[in-house]
Amino acid sequence: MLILTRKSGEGIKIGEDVRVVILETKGNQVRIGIEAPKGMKVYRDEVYEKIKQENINASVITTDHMQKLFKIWTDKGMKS
Amino acid sequence: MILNTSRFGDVEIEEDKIVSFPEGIPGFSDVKRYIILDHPNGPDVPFKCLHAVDDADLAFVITDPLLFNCDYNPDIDEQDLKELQITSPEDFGMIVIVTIPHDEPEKMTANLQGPILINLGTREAKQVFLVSDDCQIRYPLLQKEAVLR
Repeated sequence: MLILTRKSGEGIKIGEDVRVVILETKGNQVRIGIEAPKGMKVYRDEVYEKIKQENINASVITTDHMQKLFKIWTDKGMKS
Repeated sequence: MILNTSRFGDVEIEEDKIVSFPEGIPGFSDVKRYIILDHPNGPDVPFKCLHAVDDADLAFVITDPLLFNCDYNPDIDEQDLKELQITSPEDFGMIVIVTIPHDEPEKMTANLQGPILINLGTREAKQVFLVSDDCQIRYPLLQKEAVLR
């Protein structure tokens, strides 16, 4: 891993198209600005893990849950 | 064909209704083929089941996000649309996965940060991740403000 030291306002260029700028540091938090081409996805690296974990949580459904959903749907007047 | 399921027994499905996820769903990347089954109480119930075709145990509850949050209009990444060959809004459908806490089903939430897009023509699908933080990964479906129409 390449490790660089930067100050607020300084940046890093990755290839031709990507620019990362350190906007502000405050305690143990760093605000970062990222300029990247529109088609390039930039997201916090925990997003994938969070969605994966949520999918795993969601996959443990039972027929009992399905019946409860039906009951909630009818009880809450969601039925049009 | 007959789909074997651990929850609903054997279900007759039409093969041309199968939805394929070339990359799988995060957490279940080996499972590529799913089918949408109506709720056992009928097709009008807004909660359906996204059931794996090749795994009798794997299923998710899904719903239409717009039934609960009519403002939901996520900004889908161009790359994702391109991957699914989606060129117009009529080309695709969007569903979200519902998480149901085991003992408190009324506290169910929907994953609005990771909606599933389905190209209605090719029946290819993908769970996409929204970059913006505006959409919650655990959006409470039964909050008071929810539009129940």
